[in-house]
Amino acid sequence: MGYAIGGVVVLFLAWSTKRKPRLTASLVWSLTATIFGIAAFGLLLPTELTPTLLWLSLATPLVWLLFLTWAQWDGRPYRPALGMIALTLLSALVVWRMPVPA
Amino acid sequence: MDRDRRVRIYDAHSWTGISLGLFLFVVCFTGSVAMFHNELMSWEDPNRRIALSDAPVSGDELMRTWAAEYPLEDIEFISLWYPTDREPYFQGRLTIHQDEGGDLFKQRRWNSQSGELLPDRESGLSTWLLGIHRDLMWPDVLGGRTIGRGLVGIAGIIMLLSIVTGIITHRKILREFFTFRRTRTVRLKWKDAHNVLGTWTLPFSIMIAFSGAWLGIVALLLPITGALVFKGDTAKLIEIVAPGPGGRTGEAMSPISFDELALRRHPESGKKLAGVFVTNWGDSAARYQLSYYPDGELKYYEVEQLDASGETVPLVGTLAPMASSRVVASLSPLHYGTYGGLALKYLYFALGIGLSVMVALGNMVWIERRWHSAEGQQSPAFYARLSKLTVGVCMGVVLATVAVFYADPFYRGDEEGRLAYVGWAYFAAWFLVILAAFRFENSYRSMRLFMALTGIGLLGLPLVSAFVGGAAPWTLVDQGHYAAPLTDLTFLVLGALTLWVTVRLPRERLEQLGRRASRKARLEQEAPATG
Repeated sequence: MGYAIGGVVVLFLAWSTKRKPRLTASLVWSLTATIFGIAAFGLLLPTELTPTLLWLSLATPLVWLLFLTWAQWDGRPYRPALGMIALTLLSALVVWRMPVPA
Repeated sequence: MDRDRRVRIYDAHSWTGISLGLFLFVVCFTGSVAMFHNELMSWEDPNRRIALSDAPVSGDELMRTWAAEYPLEDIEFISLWYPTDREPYFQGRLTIHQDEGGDLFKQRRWNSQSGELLPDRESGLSTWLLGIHRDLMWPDVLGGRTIGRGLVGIAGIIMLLSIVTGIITHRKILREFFTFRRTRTVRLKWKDAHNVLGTWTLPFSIMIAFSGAWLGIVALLLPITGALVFKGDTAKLIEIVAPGPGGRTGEAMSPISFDELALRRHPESGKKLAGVFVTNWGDSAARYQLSYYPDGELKYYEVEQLDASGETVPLVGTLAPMASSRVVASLSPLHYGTYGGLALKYLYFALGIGLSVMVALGNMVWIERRWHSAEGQQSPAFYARLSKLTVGVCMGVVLATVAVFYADPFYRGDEEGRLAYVGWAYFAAWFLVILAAFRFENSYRSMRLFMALTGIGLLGLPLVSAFVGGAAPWTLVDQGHYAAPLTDLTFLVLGALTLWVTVRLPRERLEQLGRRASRKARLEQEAPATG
């Protein structure tokens, strides 16, 4: 059942990205890229965890805003959407592969 | 910048405005009122309208007597906040562990002069006005306050996006600082007002949008990010970021006296103590978290931690002295304007209202442009409905805010139901105003009516205060209490200002008035010739 729902969501996102790339990038991919990107960046930085998380939390609204602006700024409609999808997948891979901080 | 890009950015600016502008208006307006949360406490509760004592009774005795009502090992936290000008009474809080699960939170207030227990009053007006801004008072059945807080944070992101797209779109931003064409069309006048307010409030808007976005979405996104980093192990995240004090040892140790602590000054800054928060009270593992007044610094409190013997303990986790925690701690006072006294709060209020008006004007320009020109692709009835909705929602939240100032003091039911009653009154008033806005054919007239009602409502509030509190403002000033009379004075000034603006608002669309006036003038000119 879970796989079926997941499959429907993925298909819907693929369809909406093809139909309305800027809108889908603004509503969905900017948020996923922000969350996963920040988490992966936090894991990759060799600094102390607590201040890193605090700084990254401060950067979160700005990173999200950056992606939202990019979605409208870029001349090619698919480039921001594909860029954010790629960043989300890459960051998810980093989060999955990296060990839990001690 | 190429034309296509500019058009895209402009579309993003106008569509975020028209789709989410009303929500932004609600967040901005409720935020302007929520800042006065502490000042309103004395206004809403007549029992708090007391003078600050020069020689207060022993707070330690009050707390010990109260805490003795519960087994020592069941007391999770105990805290005492000392009397201030704004809240001239002792405030004690206890959190009691319950075997059946969960903690029981208790609160008491005592007169600082007599030690007499002040009558219990549950949260009402001030809590509602703060909550509706902070988390929309989002119900538990729909996910609870965290969801509401996240949505308000998203409003901050939308505002930041509107600011960025607005700056990119407006090429002549410096000229717009001083451009206000009062004698031109309605649309130009509103557009100029939108641009002038936008440019003059720009630094404030950026600050309030960023801090609001962070305060809101951090509650929603930080746990998600933390859960991703720690692969779902949130207990480990809390252990590293915000380590707790640990449990009791079972070895009894006499608590440090609250009266002794009251005399303490911060060892480095010399600041005065505001309150004490104690975990493991009466145990050798006790921790005393001392909060000192920030005295104009950008933080809520300067914090120090003591162990059971009174020795200073280093601060850890997010409380540790480091640049990141300093910046994070500054965001909430920066957002709510708590670092500069009442004058700063009035300035924040004026800027916040300016921001709200700017958002509403942006929507009105969008509607006007499509309603009365070839640009509109929908029917005139559609734009008329949109105009009524804008007036209803915007003036509805304003009148609902005034309405709860009347509803709360006259509540006579069970104290536990006070907050729900205030909430129902708020939404009922809001809904009625939206309905009324749709009943009016002319939105200009409905706007004038709602503004007049707001002004009259504000002017009547000092009477409510005197009636419910049983004392006139000057009597309270004579008795040494200032918070409630100052609030009354603010209502009078705001009410007079609102009425002053109301009489200057047009009764109908100026172009129509203009057309009618020019037709009349033409007829008058033609009359002698034809006669």
